[in-house]
Amino acid sequence: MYPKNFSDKLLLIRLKKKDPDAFAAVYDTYVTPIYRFVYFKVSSRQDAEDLTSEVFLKVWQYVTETEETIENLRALIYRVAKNLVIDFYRQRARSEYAAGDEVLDNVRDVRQQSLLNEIEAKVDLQKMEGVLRKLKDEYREVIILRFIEDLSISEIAKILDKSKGSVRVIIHRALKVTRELLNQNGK
Amino acid sequence: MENNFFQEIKKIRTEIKPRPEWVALSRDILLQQINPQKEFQPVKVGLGGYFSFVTQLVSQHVFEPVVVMLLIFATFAGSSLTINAAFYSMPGQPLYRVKLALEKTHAAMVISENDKVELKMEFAQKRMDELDKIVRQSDLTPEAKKKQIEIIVSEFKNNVSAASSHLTKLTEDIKKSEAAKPADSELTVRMAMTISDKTKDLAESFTANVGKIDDAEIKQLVTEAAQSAQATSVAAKQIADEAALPANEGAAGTVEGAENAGEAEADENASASSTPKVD
Repeated sequence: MYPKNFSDKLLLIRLKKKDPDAFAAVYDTYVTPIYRFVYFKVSSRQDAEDLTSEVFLKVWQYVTETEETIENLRALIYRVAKNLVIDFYRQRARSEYAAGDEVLDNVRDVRQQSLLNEIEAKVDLQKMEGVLRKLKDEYREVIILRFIEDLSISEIAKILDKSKGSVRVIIHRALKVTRELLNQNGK
Repeated sequence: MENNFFQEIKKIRTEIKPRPEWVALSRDILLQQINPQKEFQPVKVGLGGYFSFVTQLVSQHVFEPVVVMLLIFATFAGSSLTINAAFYSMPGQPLYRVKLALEKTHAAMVISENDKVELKMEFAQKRMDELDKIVRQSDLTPEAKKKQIEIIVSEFKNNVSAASSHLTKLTEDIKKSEAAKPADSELTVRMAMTISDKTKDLAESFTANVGKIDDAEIKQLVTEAAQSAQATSVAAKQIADEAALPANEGAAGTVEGAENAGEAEADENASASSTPKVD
C-alpha cells in the first residue's frame, strides 16, 4: 500500500507544478478504474467516456489551482468522478431516473442469514452487471470499490466521506441486497 | 458459493474496460487541453518540492522507516537531475556524444515498450530542436553546419526507426499470441498514435526548416528526414487503425442492452458540485 501512496504523492507534487507527464501518468493509472466506476452509474458507454474524460480535466484544474493540501490522490479522483456523475444526473430529467429506490423497496429484508452463502453459484457476468445496475447508487459504489477495485475500507471511507464503520455497514447491506437481486433474477 | 460470487464480480474487472482507441484518443485530447502550447517538457521536481514532500510525509508518518527510504530516493533523484541538467550540448561539442550515450542508457533502462517509444520520440524531438538551433546559427560555416546536420539527421532517423521497431515488435507479438488481450491492443493503439502524431509534427517542422536553408546538400538532408518522419507517421497511423478495429467491435457488444437503473443520489444531492472537498 505504501509504494502506491508514495507514487501518488510524487505525482501530486508534479501535478501541482503543472507537469503534463505527471498528468499522463495519472490518466494511465486511473482511466480504466474510473471508467468502470462511472460506467455503472450512467446509461451508456458514450456518457461514461465523456464523464471519465471530464474527471481527469477537473482533477487537473483542481490540483493545479487549489491552495489546499491533498492527501489522497486516488480518493480525490473518485470523488471528482462521483460528483460529476451527480451533476450529470442533476442536469437531466429527474423522472427518468427515479427507479433506484423502488427496486430496493421490493427487496425483502431477510435477516440472520449468511449473506454470501445465499448468492447463487450460477451467476454469470451479464447477470452480475444487471444486478449492479439495479442497485442503489450507494450500494453499487461500495461493491465496485471494495470487490472490483480492491480498495480498502479506509480509502472507501475517504471517497464517500463517511466513517469506516458506516462503510462496513453499507457494504453489509449492499451484499444483502445483491444476494436478493441475484435470487430474484435466478427465478 | 462465496468464492463464486467473488470470481464473478472480479470478472467485471477484466470484462468492463474502456475502448482502447478511446483511451488513447482521450489521453491525447486531454494532454492538448492541459498543455495547449505542446510544451511536453517534464517538470523537474526541485529541492523545494522534495523538501515539502518530505516534510508533509514526516508530519503524517513520523518514525516510519519508509521516510528514510524516501530521503534516499530524493537524494538519488536530485543528483540525477543535476547530471541531466549538465547536458545541453550540441553536435560538434565534446559532450554531445556523451549526451547520446546517456540517452541510449536511459532507453535501455526503461522496461515498458510504451515508455521506450515515448522516450525515442522525445529524443527525436530533441534532434529537431537541435536542428532548429543550428539552422538559425549564423556564425557557422556551411561545412560545419552540414556536418552537424548530418549527425542530427542520422540520429533522428535512428530514433524514429527504433520507435517504429518497438511498435512492429509489439504488433507481431500480439499477432503471434493466441489470446490477445484488450490491454495489448490498447497499448498498440497508444504507441502507434504517439508515433504517428509526433512524427507528423516533426515532419512538418523539418519541412518548415527546409525553406530556411540555402545549401542544396543540407536541404536534401533535411528533406530526407522530413520524408522519413512522414512515412513513419503514415505507417503508424495504419497500424493504429488496424489495432483499433477488433477492439472497437468487441467493446460495442458489452454495452448493448445495458439497462439504466435509478440514480437516487442524484436527486437526493441536488446541491452537489463537481469540485471535490479536499481530504
